[in-house]
Amino acid sequence: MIRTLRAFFLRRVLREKLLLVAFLGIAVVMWGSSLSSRAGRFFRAKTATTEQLKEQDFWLKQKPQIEAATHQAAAQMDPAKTLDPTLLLVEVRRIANDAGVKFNSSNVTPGPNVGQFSINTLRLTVPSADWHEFATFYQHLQERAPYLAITELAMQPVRSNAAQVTATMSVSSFEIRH
Amino acid sequence: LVAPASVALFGGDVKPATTVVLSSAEGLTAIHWETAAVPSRVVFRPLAAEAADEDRARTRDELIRDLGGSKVIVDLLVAPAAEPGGSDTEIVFRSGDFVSRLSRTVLTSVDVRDKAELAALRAARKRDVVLWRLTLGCAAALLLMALGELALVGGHAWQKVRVAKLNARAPAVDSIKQAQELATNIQDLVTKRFLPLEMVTSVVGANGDRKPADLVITRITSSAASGTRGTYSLVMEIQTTNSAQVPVYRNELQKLPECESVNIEPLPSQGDRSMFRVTVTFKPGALKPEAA
Repeated sequence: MIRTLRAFFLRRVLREKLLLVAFLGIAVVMWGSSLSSRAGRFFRAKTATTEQLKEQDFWLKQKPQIEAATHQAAAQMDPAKTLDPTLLLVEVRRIANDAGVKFNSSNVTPGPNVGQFSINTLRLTVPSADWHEFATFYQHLQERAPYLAITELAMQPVRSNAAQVTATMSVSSFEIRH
Repeated sequence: LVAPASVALFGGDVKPATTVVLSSAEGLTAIHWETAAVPSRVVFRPLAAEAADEDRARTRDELIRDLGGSKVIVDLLVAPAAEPGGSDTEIVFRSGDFVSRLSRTVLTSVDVRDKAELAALRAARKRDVVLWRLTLGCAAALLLMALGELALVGGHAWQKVRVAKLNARAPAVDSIKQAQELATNIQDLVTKRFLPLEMVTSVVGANGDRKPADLVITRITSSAASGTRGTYSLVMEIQTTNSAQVPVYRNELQKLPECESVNIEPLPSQGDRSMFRVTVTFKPGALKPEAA
């Protein structure tokens, strides 16, 4: 068959031969370019998926150890002293009142639930507080560790009164639900 | 090729002492091989177009007798014809069962046409062969690409299954990751105390005497959420009209036993006041909580 095609091709006039080669060449370039681009995208997606599947395999294999570690870590806490979102706000407000500090807060952000455990976070701003009162508030919060923990603190002095600071902080509580 | 018809028979695969007699309308041509390699003699006897069979037979016998020493005699009644679609290096001629293979180089040398014309024809043929090979190459590439397309379709179907598996397992994996994060956070709450105010006291001094008076702290930030380094790091923004005090303060901080490192980077200045960001990292466990 190839011989017949070859003889047919060789019998054509030069113009037809050149046109055929040119059309085939253009088709090869266009299709090849498109195919290589799509193949490249496919291989990148395939590699990424392979990596993600490997990572998932890793985590799924680690599940028993991680669950055991979570329970072991939680076992260090007294469930009666842990605070849910409401108790977190109530406790922080009580400590602030005792220290003579006022604060503005947004709602408590509950963390993701992992079984019966979660970590809740309260973000609050203490505007223009006397330095000593703020320090007392801070120390009383620290006394409630690890059931209450300051996880973020930003302070800046009040310009009109060097003895005062404005602070923004995040306070987290660990919760064990019964 | 333009050459005597008998030339086409020169490439025959014959034994030594063979004579081939080619019959044509014009006469008889006898080709004799003494050895198998090449013909040694070619003799032509013309015959009238109306010659009788007896005359032809007699002339044939005379030819063979003249040549002498023939052990094998092959009579060919039809002129040799080239087989179509041969290779680029040789041409195959056939006359009945007799086959002759001649290289193109040999044929070129026996062609009786003008040599310049032949050279042009050869060049054109070379070009045509190149074009044919290009055509074949393109066709092969197109075929390969068609196979590639099929492979890609199959690959996409396979990938779809894998992505479905990935998505199906994602919630379970996310909950394991959250459990891991929670375990780490609980452990951090119990073992790693985040002491931002103690860090502030350390860098400014219990009575504010460690920091040069020319340096004004405009903002202090610290975050345990930034990982282990964040738990033990404090970032201060400082402004001053006396920049020379900044390295002095850095040296003072580096002397602290609880201090691990001090990094100072300049910020855009405001008027005559220079701004700096000072990052102080403490040694883990070096600071103790202050008593209420």
